[in-house]
Amino acid sequence: MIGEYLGQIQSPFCMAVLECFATELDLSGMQVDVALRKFQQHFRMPGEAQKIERLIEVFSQRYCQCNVDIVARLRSPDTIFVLAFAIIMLNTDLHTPNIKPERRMRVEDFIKNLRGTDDCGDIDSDMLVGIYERVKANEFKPGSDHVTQVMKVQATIVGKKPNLVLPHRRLVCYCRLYEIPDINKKERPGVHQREVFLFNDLLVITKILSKKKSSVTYTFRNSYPLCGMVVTLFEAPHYQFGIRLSQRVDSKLLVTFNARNEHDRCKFAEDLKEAISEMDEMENLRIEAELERQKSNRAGNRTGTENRDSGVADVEVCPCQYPCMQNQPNANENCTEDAQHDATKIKRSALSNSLLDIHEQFVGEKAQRRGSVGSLDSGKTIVGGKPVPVAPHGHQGLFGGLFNKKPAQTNAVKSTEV
Amino acid sequence: MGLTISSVFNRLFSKKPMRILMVGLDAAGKTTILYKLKLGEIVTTIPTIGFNVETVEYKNISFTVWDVGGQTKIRKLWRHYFSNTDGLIFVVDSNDRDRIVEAEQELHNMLSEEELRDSVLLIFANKQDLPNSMSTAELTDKLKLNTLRNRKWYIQATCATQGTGLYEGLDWLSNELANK
Repeated sequence: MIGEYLGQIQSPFCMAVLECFATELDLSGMQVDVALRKFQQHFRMPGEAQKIERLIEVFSQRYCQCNVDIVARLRSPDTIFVLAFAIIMLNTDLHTPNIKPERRMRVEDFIKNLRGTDDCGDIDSDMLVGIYERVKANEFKPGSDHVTQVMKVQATIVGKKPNLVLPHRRLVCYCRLYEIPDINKKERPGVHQREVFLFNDLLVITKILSKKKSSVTYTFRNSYPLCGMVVTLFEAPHYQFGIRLSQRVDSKLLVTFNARNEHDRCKFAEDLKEAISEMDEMENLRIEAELERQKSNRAGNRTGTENRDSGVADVEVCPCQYPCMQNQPNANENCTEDAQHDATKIKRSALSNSLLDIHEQFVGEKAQRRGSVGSLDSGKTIVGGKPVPVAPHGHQGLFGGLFNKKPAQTNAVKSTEV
Repeated sequence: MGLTISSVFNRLFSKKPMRILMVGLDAAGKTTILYKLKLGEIVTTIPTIGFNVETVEYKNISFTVWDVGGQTKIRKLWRHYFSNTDGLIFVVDSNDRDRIVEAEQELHNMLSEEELRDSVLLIFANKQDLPNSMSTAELTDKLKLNTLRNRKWYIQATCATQGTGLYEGLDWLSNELANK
């Protein structure tokens, strides 16, 4: 996920972070592949060519800074960039399960492919052989971050479960608790055993499914978002170390647990409370920012359809089809021709600076609708190919659903069939 | 006799391998397309560090799709793959009018590679769900597809997030490749 963040080529901030990160690394005296291995170990490299390219570009600049002597022997400093890119390609080629073994690059292919790279000259072939052998023997592996840990937890939970792996989510603690179905009823000790995973924003309740020597798997039972949760400790005749979770809004009881001992209860409740207060604070900040944005948008632009009060009929004012989610007030210059510019601006502002935003971006993608199909063929001429404009429809942005009361029009289904 | 049967059997049931390169500007939707095509298959392995490469099996053809991109400087490195490439998928963001010229140049640069002389070209006019997107007819014009000589091409409107149009495109590819 850090790699995803560092690979956001459209965000200048992320790019600045990437460069700062690179300057922290000491790559001196290393072969290019060794240095590259070190560089990529700090995050998980994204798979998109353009993102890789950007990461490699920054890497190669740093490598050149650290290894002036090596670079001086080359004809062009660009060579390092191309070579590093080729190494990533080689790593994919040699280790992806999606290529048949007989189609993988051999060392001759690797050398041949890099012919003429050094400003029409060749890179020392012994060096290339060395690189090839090292990459072949040792696949590049990502370093782990908080997301890797969540991924591991997710992998052990079976059954219908929500996707747990999100950029902002980390595991806080794990605890074994016993669920209490009825607080007044005495039960055998040890029944309703639950394995509870506390993430910084979510509580996941599971049950052990199978326990083997090397691995344990869990069945998913339930999950509760932490925001707005209340924790109370209690002591009942049959349950000495009770923990009760409820919702603040309506005091609705979510779940009741009994811990194994005072130590477990104390630790778990402490962690849980801390995580909840953190989430509540985040939520407050989010609301404040939202209000702020709304205010500034209203002040900056009166013709924009965003944030308008529901029911107020100021239709036909704005032909702009993107009534939502703009950070910059200037992004909405109310003219049809600007609509497409706005689209890119929306996209770019969506790529802003926090990891949480990456997640929201994905959520945003799901909201899109499509209704037109059309295709053209090289072999045939276009008959009656007058393109019918696709009807605009309410494009639900990230926060659009909150403010945009314009009903989404259904798309015109059209076909430019030939 | 046994040989004949097995060769007939192979013709009927074995999956013909095809190498496909997928190109396009950043944020055109290549990754989304790649993983939409893979949808429904359980991905258990941790992905390899490096480029997105996926094998998609469809209609007796096993497509190995490479997500390729980037500047001229590194385009040379794809030579190794160009020479074995059967088809090229070019993904264009139909909604990005600002960069359509850039996309057109990228496409024509790619097609000028000698090794790609015989590969067929499929264009995915992606992001058709966005209200201001260009139609396939408009894109044909803007990408100057009619100037292409000795090249089989096909443009397909898609929306990668919904998965629409993708298999129609692959249908065309598999037909073309089967006739090759």
